[in-house]
Amino acid sequence: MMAGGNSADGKRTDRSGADGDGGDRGGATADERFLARLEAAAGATLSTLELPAGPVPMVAPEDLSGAAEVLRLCSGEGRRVLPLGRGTKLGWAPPIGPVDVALSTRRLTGIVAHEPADGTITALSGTTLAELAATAALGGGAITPLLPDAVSATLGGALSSGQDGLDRLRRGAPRDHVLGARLLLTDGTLVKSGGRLVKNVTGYDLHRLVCGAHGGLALIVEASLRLFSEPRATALIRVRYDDFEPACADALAHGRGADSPRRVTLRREAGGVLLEIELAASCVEVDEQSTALHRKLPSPERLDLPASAARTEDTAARAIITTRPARMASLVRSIEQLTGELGSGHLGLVEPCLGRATVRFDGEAGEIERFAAGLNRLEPTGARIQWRDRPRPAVDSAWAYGAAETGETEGRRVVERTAGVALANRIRRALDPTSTLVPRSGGA
Amino acid sequence: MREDLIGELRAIVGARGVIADATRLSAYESDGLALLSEQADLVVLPRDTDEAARVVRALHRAQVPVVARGAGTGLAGGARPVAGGVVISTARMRDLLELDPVDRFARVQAGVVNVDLDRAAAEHGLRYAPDPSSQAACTLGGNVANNSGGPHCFKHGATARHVLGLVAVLPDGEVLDLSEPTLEPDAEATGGLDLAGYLVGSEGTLGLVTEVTLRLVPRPEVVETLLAVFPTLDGACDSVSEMIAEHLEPSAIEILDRLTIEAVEASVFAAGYPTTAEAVLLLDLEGGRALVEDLSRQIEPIVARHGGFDLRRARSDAERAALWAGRKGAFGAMGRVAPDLYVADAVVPRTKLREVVAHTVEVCRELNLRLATVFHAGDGNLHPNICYDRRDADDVRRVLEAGDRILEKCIAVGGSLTGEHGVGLEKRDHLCQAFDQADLDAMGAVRRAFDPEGRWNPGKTLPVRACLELHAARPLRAGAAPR
Ligand SMILES: Cc1cc2nc3c(=O)[nH]c(=O)nc-3n(C[C@H](O)[C@H](O)[C@H](O)COP(=O)(O)OP(=O)(O)OC[C@H]3O[C@@H](n4cnc5c(N)ncnc54)[C@H](O)[C@@H]3O)c2cc1C
Repeated sequence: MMAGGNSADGKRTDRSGADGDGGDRGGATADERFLARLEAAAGATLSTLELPAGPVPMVAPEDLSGAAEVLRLCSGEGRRVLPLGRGTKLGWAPPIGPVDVALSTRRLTGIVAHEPADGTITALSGTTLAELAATAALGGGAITPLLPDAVSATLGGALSSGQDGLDRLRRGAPRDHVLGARLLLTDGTLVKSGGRLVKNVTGYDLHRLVCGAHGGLALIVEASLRLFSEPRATALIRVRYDDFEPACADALAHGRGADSPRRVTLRREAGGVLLEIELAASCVEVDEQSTALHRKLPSPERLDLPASAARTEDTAARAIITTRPARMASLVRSIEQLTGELGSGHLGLVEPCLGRATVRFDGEAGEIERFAAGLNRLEPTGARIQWRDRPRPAVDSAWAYGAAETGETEGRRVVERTAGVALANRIRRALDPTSTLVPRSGGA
Repeated sequence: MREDLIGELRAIVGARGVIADATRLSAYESDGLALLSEQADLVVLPRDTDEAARVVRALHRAQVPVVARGAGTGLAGGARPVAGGVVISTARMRDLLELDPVDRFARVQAGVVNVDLDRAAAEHGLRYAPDPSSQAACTLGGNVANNSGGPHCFKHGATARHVLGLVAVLPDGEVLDLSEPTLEPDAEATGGLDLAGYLVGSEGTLGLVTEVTLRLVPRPEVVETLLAVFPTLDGACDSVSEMIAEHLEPSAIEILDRLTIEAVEASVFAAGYPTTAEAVLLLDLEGGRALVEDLSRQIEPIVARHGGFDLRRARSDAERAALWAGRKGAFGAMGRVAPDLYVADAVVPRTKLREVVAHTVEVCRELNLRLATVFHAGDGNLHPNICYDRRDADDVRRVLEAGDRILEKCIAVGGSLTGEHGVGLEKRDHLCQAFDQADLDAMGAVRRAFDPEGRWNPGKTLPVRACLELHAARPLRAGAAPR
């Protein structure tokens, strides 16, 4: 067994728990006793999760009551919990401040209900998206998001991280297709919202609020999703352009419809730009759309094998930059100019119809802060920048609730931002009054 | 109401923006649920977010209860006061602020009427997809507050899927500006939470929505409207269940029963529905020509298998429009059949349509009530409409009993209490049938994070008494869901 908890400065934390006084005096014993209780509560042995600030004990209870016991124990003893699935998105929104226990849902697995004739599926949150998709497919259904790392991504983790997939353009945001959920609050209470119906406005949508909250409000233990009809056919249309301008224009003109393609992407290729439009639907729809695209696009090439299945999850440090679709061509121009000046990074995938581009960092770790600061020069154009898997120096926990409540005001914009962040913090306290769940950057 | 407060409000919104006399106030005492009414002390009509924020701050200081109101077409008692207080109406907030045909969104003030946005979008080949049957009157702010649906939400999704952003005045008068359309909530503006999404469907309990940024979608290349005639309501229901099981995706799937057809055909909305039918199925198919033809080919045998016949295609835009006007005018047309109409709203899994619809028929027969059913069958969203006369106390009692029994059945088969009209005042106490106390407590805690003093739409959307007390006062009927 290991001594528990890390903090930003690498010291062990013991937040005035029942067993400790926060100092080193007798601390090890208190920790050992806590870890023994943790193991008993979870009904499972502990393992270790490596975080940038050091190792923390991790539990993966086998059932809901074990997970509830862990939360109850930790909130009662002032220990801070980092919820996670299989930990594939930890780099997306790193924990801010000390973590005492990592609580994984990886063993809360299984399909709870699959109603192919009603088009819904319900599963425990540790179930992988690959398993969900395979089950759905048995009844001719499909789920969203469609992730490259579906084999390791859990349902709870994907929803908590607000991750969208290769099918975002066609399906919209995954949270729009979450029909309901069961959540564990930090006092161990199990609550549900929504249901297993494709249409429902009964009660407040807590299940919507936890999507993208990075586990900062409650632990998602079960969720229900709407199913789509499994695409019977796929096709990939490729067109090469000299530059981004005409490619973006064509993508916007022909890549969005009442029924959009699954994916429309652009990327720099030797000597030009490659547009890929991936269709995935019924055979008739794919044929019809592909014929129409052949009419409208300059010398397209059609491949019947989709590329998405083969694509792998990007794990490089990368900035996701979003803007309005109409500004995409000019954003891309600015990005290429800026990355040229800064070195150590390049333009990755561009999704013009979504207004999103990826910039991959490929320099030495030490250069990333300078690179990130350089990219911030895009912000005045209205672009928003979010980093994924960015190596970060350990952050001070005071940052977590900082800006919101310090009363900083610099004209209207900051005041407005303050209202939202302050509200998010009140919501967090409403659901987690003991502040047991560790906030993550990007989450509340 | 204190004179100095009235004066302060007049100074903000102008004399015409404050209604204080009893006669004019009576127009605001109920919404589409005519059964329930209560007069407000005052109605205030701000013209924009800034005025609204100043009004809300004044009411916050004076600790006055507030009810937000759009067009008052809501059917759950959501837009009427419970115990006096001030109604803030968006009736003077009717500006279309921005329509961007390239990025395909519109920014509107909350009081803009649904159909007006769709008309403006049409000029650019675009549409605003959610189309409640009340779309000629209801406001987009009301649609957001209720997460409203409509026939074409079967394919396109209800309001929540179309809200890209909004501006809201929070209960303390702070302005939450999330109007810029973003793919994901902007962490710096929302702490990473989907606050705009959470406000959708919150029924005016979390603040006043003053502006909405809405997604527009291209109008379909081809639309085909089909009408199938059924000798039984069961057959119509079963054909829908089979279409869903086969993953067919028309854009709208609606069922109208015989009494509804008769009422429509006798009204100004007469659409040419066959009055001898026990039920008709009204479908829209959208997409490219080949897709629409393929769908239509797949639907034909399903309809036939369940006894449907005379599958008709609208031959012109005019005929198509008439068929839909009949559907959308159905509630209004019912005015000819009875003085009052109780529009119930519940959802069932789409595998249970026939069972539950048959149950509603049976309940109304037992209670000697006339039932007209017209509903969003593709979503499993039932609207049993029960005719009554609100001046007749026994009629009212029987209608309410029928409503309760229908809801209990829906819950028992895994359904829900409301699909689009919301909880409001009407279904507040029924929530204990669908949720445990712990669920409701968590929802209440988040509500207090927005509105710590509980002044916004008080007494609505969540039960004011504990579920235990409510269950004791009204034990569940046999067959109701065990909770
Ligand atoms: C004939 C008829 C047909 C209908 N058909 C449908 C249908 O097909 N689908 C459907 O979903 N509904 C339908 N409805 C119900 C109703 O029209 C919808 O709920 C509609 O969205 C209400 O809009 P409204 O502007 O009338 O809102 P109101 O009735 O004024 O208010 C509804 C609720 O929203 C709140 N609210 C209103 N504006 C705001 C705001 N700006 N900020 C915060 N809260 C606000 C109110 O407090 C109240 O709780 C129908 C009603 C009728 C009478």
